Amino acid sequence: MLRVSDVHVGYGAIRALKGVSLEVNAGEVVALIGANGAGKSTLLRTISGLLRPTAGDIAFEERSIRGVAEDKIVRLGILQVQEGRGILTRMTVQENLEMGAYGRSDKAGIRQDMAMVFDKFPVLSQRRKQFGATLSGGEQQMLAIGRALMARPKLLMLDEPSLGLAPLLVNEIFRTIEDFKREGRTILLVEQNARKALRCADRAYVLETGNIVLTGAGAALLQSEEVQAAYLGGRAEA
Amino acid sequence: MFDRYTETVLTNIGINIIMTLSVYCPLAVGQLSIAQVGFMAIGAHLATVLTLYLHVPFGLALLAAALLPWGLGLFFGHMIARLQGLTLAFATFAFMEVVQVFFLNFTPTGDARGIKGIQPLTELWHVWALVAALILFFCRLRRSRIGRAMAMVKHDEVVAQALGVNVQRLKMLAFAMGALVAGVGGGLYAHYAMYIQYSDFGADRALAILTYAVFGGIDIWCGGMLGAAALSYLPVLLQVFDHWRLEVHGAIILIVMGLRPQGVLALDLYDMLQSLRQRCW
Repeated sequence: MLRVSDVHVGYGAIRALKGVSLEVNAGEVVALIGANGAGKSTLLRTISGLLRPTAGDIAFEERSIRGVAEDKIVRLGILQVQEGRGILTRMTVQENLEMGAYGRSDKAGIRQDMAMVFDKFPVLSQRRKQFGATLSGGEQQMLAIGRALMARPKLLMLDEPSLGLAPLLVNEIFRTIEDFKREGRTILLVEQNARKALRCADRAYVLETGNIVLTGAGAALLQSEEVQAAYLGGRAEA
Repeated sequence: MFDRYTETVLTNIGINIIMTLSVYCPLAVGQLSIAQVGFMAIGAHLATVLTLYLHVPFGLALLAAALLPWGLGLFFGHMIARLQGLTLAFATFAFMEVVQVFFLNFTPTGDARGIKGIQPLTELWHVWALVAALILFFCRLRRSRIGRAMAMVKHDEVVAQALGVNVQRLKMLAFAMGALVAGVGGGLYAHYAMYIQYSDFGADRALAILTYAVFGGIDIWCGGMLGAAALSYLPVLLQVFDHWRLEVHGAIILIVMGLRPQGVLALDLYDMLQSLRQRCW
């Protein structure tokens, strides 16, 4: 579904991605792990169209989307849930969700999806009329994910969904991702919480200073000594 | 229905409301534009030339006074779509100045002497029909898809873009919409004032319109309507103060702004009404 081939991206003189290739097939959950500054978010931003690769190509459903404007990419079906969530703080939960369906005009479908989101995140249903600003961090993350679902994305990209959340909430977010996997959604997940990400991913890529250094099935990477040493804090049992 | 005097006062208020609402089109996407007066000048001069020299029917002249500013608004709006805050204010201010200087030197429209003898074609109902249409437009906008996208852009451009809104194009459209309204407002103004001159469309008027918006509440368009209506009617009320009326006028604005710096009708009031309604239902 998504194919990133040999993509280079730089910020001025700094080369953030040095020839990254990656693939996401329909119905897969693919994790992208790596340390701070490895280039994970840069890669997502490049796929979203916020950054333009200096070399290489990105194809979505066999069509190149290199250099396509961000809003067009969203309409093609790639939606990114940003790190820091980007909730519209002065709009209600319901309005936030409606905004997610901005590109759609099928009212019945929108209502159906709204019910689906409320069903998935009951807490949002309780907060329906509250302003985004009054939600807790975890609720904001759920709202951001719910809002992305409202656009019926073909590919959902989650940028550090567990960032800054309490452990219980982190578990809940990952349970949601497991649900998505069962529903057959296609997800590209960027995480620092490598253990949890690898556990729920079909496949994973390890990014290190702008290069993909390892790739394989999530479970296999979880066992790999290199990954354990670098990202899982030594020989913890998997 | 009304005597001449009342009719004049009401027409003036209506035109001020139209001009203020024209500011709320770009404001709906978070852009503060001072260029409205420039578009007003273009609409006024164009409509006047059409009715006075070319004997075009008033309706068609107004249509032209809408379309030319719309086109110019699209062009200029495209140029300034990426500007924000102070730079945007300066760019739009400069646009107004350029238009003013143009009409100061443009002989076919009477340069510094202005145009005299314009037919009084603007009737009270014209003005208020447009006000009513604008109210309807703003009410419907809030619930429409494009209106929600505008609210989103005003709120957070980055999020709007990430949810698939073409932010630059929306800003351009909003700006052109405001230009269109201001152009028609100018056409109506010219055929009500019966005399126009480049200096009618300068910083004074721009400041007045901005004051209406800020006084009434810059966040919601109803606030602008209230501000325009109240402050345009105030001088009539204050005539009893004779020579002191301007001082009293200024004092009232100062006191009100001191009490409600966010404008008379601001979002906090709106939220309060909303929660009150929720509690009562």
